[in-house]
Amino acid sequence: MAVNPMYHQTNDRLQEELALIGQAKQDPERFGPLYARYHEQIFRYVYQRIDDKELAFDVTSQVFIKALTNLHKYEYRGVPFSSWLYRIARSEVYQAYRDRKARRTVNVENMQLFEMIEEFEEEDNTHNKRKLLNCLTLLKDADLQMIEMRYFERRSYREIGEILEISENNAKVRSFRALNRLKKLFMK
Amino acid sequence: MDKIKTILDREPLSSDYIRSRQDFDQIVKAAKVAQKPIWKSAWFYGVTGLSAIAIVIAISVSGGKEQQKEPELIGHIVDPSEVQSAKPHVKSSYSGNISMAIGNPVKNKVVVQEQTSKPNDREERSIQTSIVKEPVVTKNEEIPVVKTVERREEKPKTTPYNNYMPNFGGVYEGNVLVDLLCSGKGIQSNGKLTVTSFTISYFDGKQDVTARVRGNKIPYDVCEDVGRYNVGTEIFITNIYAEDRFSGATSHLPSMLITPVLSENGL
Repeated sequence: MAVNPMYHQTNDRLQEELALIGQAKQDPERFGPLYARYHEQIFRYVYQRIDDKELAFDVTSQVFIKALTNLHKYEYRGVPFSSWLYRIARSEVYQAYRDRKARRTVNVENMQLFEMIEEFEEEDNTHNKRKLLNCLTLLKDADLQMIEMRYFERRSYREIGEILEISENNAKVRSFRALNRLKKLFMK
Repeated sequence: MDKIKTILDREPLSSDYIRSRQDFDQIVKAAKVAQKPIWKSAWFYGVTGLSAIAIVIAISVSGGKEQQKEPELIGHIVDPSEVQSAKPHVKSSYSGNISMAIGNPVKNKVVVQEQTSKPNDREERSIQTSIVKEPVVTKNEEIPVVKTVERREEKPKTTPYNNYMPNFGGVYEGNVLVDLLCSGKGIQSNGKLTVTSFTISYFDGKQDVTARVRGNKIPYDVCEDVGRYNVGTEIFITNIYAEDRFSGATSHLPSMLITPVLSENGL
């Protein structure tokens, strides 16, 4: 399974990023390179969960505004800067749901449904695809989040762990359990 | 949360399009606007909160000191004849020799009733206060001018300290012969005072005992314990009250710290 190649970085890259963060803390104008680097990633994360494109751009802007205003609080913990941005994005997306600006949305590709049905060892047909889509809406939010990140966004367990602030192993276990629950719902 | 919406195969957005929507200048501007104002920051609340508490404490402390410094003013004394003649509508509970009116003479009138007992009684005074709401004053009525006299709390007249000093046969501290302690004379005081009660603290062979005694003599059983277990050790005689034989006034005499001994040489 392909994983987000932008997320995983070499140590040198992380150090370079840390230097940029340090400069941005001194001068907000220096935040530009970080913004350019992560804007698309964060937008795609938001857009995956929000149905309206313009609102997704707004929420993304809000994420970077929050990041810039709270940059002085950022502490390097050996993980990419993007994990911090993802956490802000997650919080902003949920804020948009609470404010009734956006509706919780799951974007799925036909191919991803096919892979999942295959994993359930079921026949790939329109009925099953519809059924699976319906089952996704019945999942608890935590489970849906795991399924989305692991199977639709194809993130690594390490990345999921860093975004959700859990260990890589825990991410693996939670992802497996979420898939099992989805399977149970599907088999009913 | 509303029901989850699922979208199948949504048209993907190209990276170029997303990049074209980047606007870093707007982010920087918005971030500057979004900066918390100084009064919303945590340290501001901390500093202002602490200073407010400090001010409140300072005011309360200084207020307390001012109260302590105030003279012991009991009130404004009004001649009862003037009060009665000028304000017949004021309900007065005056029944003693002196009537004192305290407070705002226009709205409320506090009448302090002081009842002095007969001269032969002890100097026990009871002061009752009652707030009497004055009826609405009509325009034609004149508010009487009341003479005010500052009255300070009376302090009991004191006689020289040595005259009050309680003693056992002239000894008021240090070694006292047990015989003298337990003689029929008891605690004496020079002059016109008779000791009426006292508290004695001693060891009864098992524990320390504090006993309140009426009269001026140490009871026989206490005397026995003192002679048996307290020779050479200090015993306390406190809360010594005496009565003036002539006026009947009660006085509080100084405490005594004595050491019972069996003979003059301290044994």
